[in-house]
Amino acid sequence: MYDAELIGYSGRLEARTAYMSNFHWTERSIISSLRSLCERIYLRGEAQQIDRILDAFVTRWCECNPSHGFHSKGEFQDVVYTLAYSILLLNTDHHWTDISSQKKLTRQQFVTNTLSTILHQLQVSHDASEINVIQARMSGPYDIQRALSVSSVPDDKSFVSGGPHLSDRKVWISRMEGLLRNLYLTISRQPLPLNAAYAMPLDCVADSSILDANIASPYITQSATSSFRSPSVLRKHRTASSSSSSRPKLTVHHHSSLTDIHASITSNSLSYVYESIDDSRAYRRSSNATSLSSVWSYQDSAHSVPVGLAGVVSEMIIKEESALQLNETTSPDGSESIIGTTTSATSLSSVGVAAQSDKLIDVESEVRGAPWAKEGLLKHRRRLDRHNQRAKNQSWEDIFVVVQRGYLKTFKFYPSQSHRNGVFGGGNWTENASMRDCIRLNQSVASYISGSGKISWKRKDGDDTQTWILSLPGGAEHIFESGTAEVAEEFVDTCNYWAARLSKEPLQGGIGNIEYGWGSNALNTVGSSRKQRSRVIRQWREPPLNLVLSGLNECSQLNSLLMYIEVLERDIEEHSQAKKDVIDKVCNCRGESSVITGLTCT
Amino acid sequence: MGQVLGRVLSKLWGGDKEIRILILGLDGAGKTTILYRLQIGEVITTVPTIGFNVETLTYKNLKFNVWDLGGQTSIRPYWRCYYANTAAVIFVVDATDRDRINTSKEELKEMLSEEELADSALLVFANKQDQPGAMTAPEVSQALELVGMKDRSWSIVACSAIKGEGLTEGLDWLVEVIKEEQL
Repeated sequence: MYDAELIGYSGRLEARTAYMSNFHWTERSIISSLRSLCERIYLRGEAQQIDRILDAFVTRWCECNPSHGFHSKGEFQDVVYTLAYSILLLNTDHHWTDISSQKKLTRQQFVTNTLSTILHQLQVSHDASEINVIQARMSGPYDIQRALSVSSVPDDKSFVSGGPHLSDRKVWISRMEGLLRNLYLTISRQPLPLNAAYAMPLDCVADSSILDANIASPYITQSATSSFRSPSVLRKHRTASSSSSSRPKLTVHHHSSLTDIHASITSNSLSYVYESIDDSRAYRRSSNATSLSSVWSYQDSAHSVPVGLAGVVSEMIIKEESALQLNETTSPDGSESIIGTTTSATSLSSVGVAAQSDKLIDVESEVRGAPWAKEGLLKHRRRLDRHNQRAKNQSWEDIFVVVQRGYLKTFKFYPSQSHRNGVFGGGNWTENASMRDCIRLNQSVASYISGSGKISWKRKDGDDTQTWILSLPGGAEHIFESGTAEVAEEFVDTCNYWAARLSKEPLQGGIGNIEYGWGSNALNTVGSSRKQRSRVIRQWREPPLNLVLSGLNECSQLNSLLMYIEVLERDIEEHSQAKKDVIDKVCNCRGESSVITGLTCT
Repeated sequence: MGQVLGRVLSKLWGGDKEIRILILGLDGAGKTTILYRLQIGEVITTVPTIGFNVETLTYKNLKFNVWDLGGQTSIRPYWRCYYANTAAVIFVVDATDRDRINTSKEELKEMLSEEELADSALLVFANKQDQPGAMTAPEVSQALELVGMKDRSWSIVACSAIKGEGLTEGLDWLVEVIKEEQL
């Protein structure tokens, strides 16, 4: 199946011409030719690509219908092009469901708009003498009678082989008007066919997994593209955005297998007996899949990633095992269950080892506890749901909190359902608990609340604050209370560690002509004459936070944050310079309070 | 009565106001990616349509229709009816493509000279910041000769569409400007 992007690239003129030459549009109207093209190609894409394809289409159509009556021939294909373009635009406008009906092109708009463009083109491309030539040409060889009789058909067929007698411009224009009206009707009744767009179920799977994987890690992206070979960026995003609810096959597979293993391991490894797991065939079989799981851990997948210390330990065991396995040749007995994963897992294995060793360090440090990971029973209360919006339920609750791998997860234990499965004390406490919140920690800040209600970033010596607050980028605030000050400190450190680890600094730059009051423009005009100062000074607002996750490792993340702090400090210095100037110049003026508040904000 | 009140309210908040935005730029600058990435809020599932790329997004109570329209210069008059109610132009520049930045400049200049776009705000995305050697926003503004432009609100925002960075910043700016200037 061809795709608009495939032949739409600028360097592929030959490909386009060759592709179009497969179509035979002799004696066919523009609209029906366009329909037949759309049956073959999913004509959708960047404006330039559409333009090039349309261009090729028009060239071919004119080739097939050398004596068409659109006034434009040879190098002047403008009218045909305009018609094709207008059909496409109309189709988009009319059948794009998100455009509310009062905003859609009306028939009158469509007709006048297209007609005026065509007339404009005729004037531009043919000066007076040329128009005469054309008129002579038009009035010459064409069979007027035939053209007129065909023209009763509501289509542009009337133009295909001749068109009306053009010595009379008015007839031509009115004929064109009728044609446009009919085009509008046909398109509104029947959109351009979409057949080509439906033949990509396999790609859909690959595509959405690519998008998801983009967030997680570059490795998956590679493997997924190589195994599915999906050609188009366009569809990648399209399908991903439209079918974001359905998880990609790839992920689902791994997740399910992983949770199985996880359950099986944790149920018999309460005392972390390494040997017993060594024997477990079932888990050895799918260890390939688990090596993948580490890559997914930064994702929103709350269920697959092992939770808490018990989970970490078991995962660590799996890691070591699978590292061994990767070195060995894969055992044949497992091939059955991992058919789905072999492609990606094997292609991963080369990069997997490198990624894994990095990951192993993480897991090891997690076992060491704060500030890499921390869990414990706390009292919890929501304070704000959003900026200035108090939470509905502000009561205190006992919850189990796990801070790990960039997430803070809170769990509530079921009161008496632990005997449900007949297994008691199996070590997998997640079976007996339900997750309340899963909070991603990037751009969040944890800080202490002292007894007097003051919030401070650092704990002072001798201060036994046990309450701490987690402020999230959306403005939500959670308050936690722990038994001792030490525990609170560990939690705060862990939260802040992950916040620093995952938060990405904003991109540098951003420049515009909006005046907030301290630009050179404002400064220069403030002093001079009041009348010149026509520019509006706007209220400065803080830019939104960058919620993209940082993919850097510990060390380079620290460096990039330090560099960003340097930049910020430089900016602040510059800014306070400006503040001085502004205050010097503005002090006596009225109505500049916004500037001052803006300055103090920053 | 209630209807009237509702209408007044929706006018105040711009509830049912659809804002038309053109997204322009050379090919390969990343328009398509930005277009899809801009759907930060809710994604409305739509039937795929043959034709040009249009995305609808609701952001901060405003509904945007972002159009990726283009084509030969001869088609320009055709756009007029689309231009006429265009609130803003998003111009996308491939910040790594120093060879074609001049072409970009010409294109932008030509576009902004259209009478129908005289009142629209201009947001420039200096895209592909994730790649090494990308021009910074100030560099792009110099290359596009925007610094002297005083007759319209403009802003350059560095972004990386593929990572989704910088887009909210740009969109926020756009919302501010549109709310203040056009609603």
